[in-house]
Amino acid sequence: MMPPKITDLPENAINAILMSLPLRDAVRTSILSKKWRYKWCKLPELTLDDKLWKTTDNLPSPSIRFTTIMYNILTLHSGPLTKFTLSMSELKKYPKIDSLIHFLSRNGIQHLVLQFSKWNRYKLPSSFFTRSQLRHLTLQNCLICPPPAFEGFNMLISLELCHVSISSEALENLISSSPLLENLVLKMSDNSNHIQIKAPKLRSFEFTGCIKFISLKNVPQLAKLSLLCGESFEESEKCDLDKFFQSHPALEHLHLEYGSAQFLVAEAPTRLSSALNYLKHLYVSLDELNDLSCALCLIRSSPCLQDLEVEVSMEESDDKVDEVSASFSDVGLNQVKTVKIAGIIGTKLEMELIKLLLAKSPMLVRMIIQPDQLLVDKEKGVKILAELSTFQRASRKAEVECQLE
Amino acid sequence: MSSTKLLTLKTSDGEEFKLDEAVAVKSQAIKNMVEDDCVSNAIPLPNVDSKTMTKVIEYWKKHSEEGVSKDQLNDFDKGFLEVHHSVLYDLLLAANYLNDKELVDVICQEVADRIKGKTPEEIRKEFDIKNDFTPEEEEKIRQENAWAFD
Repeated sequence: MMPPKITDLPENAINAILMSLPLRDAVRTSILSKKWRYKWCKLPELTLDDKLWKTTDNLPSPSIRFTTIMYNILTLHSGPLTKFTLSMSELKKYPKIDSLIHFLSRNGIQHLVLQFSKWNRYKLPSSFFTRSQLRHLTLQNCLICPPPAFEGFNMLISLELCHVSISSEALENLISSSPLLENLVLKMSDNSNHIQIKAPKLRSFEFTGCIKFISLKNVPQLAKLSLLCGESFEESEKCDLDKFFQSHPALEHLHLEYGSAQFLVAEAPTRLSSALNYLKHLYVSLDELNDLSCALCLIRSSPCLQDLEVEVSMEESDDKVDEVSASFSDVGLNQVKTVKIAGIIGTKLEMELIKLLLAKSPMLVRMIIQPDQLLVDKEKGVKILAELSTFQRASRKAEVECQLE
Repeated sequence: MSSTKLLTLKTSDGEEFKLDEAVAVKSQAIKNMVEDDCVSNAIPLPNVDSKTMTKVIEYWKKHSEEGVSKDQLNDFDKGFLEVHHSVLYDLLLAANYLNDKELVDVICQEVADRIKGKTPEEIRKEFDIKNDFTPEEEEKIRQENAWAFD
């Protein structure tokens, strides 16, 4: 049997290969041979990013280049187009693309990503807001003003809005008119409007901004929550930790950056009034001791926790070592199998934290330590690992790995 | 606790491979058969030969091991994919047939990496593609997609 040649691979394999190439390389395959001439035209997914508009001397202008490329692609492309990604995040002036947006929204596209630049939020034309088969939508640096008659993208499964200008009413409507919505990502650091989120099928929510302004009203299936922190908030903008987590008893994954920047920790209880009985994966980042108090409160309230991931960037405060040790007295990581700690530079506080984690985890299988790559050289790393090996482990199966590369 | 159930896979050249069900279901095709309960005898895989199956199983086993770090997996993948094109295509066809999306993607990325940044002549040479265009036809294509060839 003759060995297969690349040209004769099945169409879906060729498509997968071409889609793993930058678009320019994919289009260049048109010149390889007659069989290859139009293989790229059948790609169901196209990604047009900033690299395409750049020329070494900016001639022709990015606008003209854009128009030339779009004309070429759209006239030669055949077959269904299910995913389209357009990134113009580095352009200060956009070419006219309203009709392109209109064309895309009428063409059975299921997955659409539009990224504009922070200097110039693009106003989506009203023709964008039509009933469509959109299932995945990502918009960055857009002005979103749906016309009053807009009934929503009713097939939407995932929605990502980054740095968009949208009224809270329009955002609430957009979400509530997507009954199938499962994943929601909102990056709204400059938002100060109260927004109510009603999404009965929502399973995953990632948010960057002031969580106090977001009210998750109807999210019974929420399993994954990520609260990312762009900045520190005033006390008046922080949330009550206990009250907040009371509404999310079904959480399985929680990703919390700098807990004390987002939640009022001073008045936080040692344990939440309603336990997080399904929480299996917890990620926390610690910049100060209050972040640790917040994390410990969550850990005490999660009896089924299996994976713990910690990122530290705490200043040296060796006088707090005893305080930390005491705060762990009623902490048990009884089901935890893996622990990962990143950003280690070897302070007494960090080593005490690792010691406590090892001593309190009877089911531990693996602990991974990732030292800070910039501040810890190989010699220091070896010293840290040597010290770690002397710590007592509650679990005999526990392996400690220090990633020194 | 998952019971370690063994499945038997039979390749096109008659060789039989015994494999943990938990590992074999990386293949969506095999997973479907397990769910439809038709795996009491050996599962026939007429489109995969034993040489290729050995490699696929090697990949599955490594990616099912507990306690392997991401870096270790990356190193393994790199070495695993450092093979001649024809081996890659056999692997790709097998992964496609077995419906293992992860393996298909990994192999396609490797092939793409071997294409990226090369001139058409270099690509033709490496992948044994015959240029059947006349110089006039070639020029026409270059003009048609000028932006990609400048």
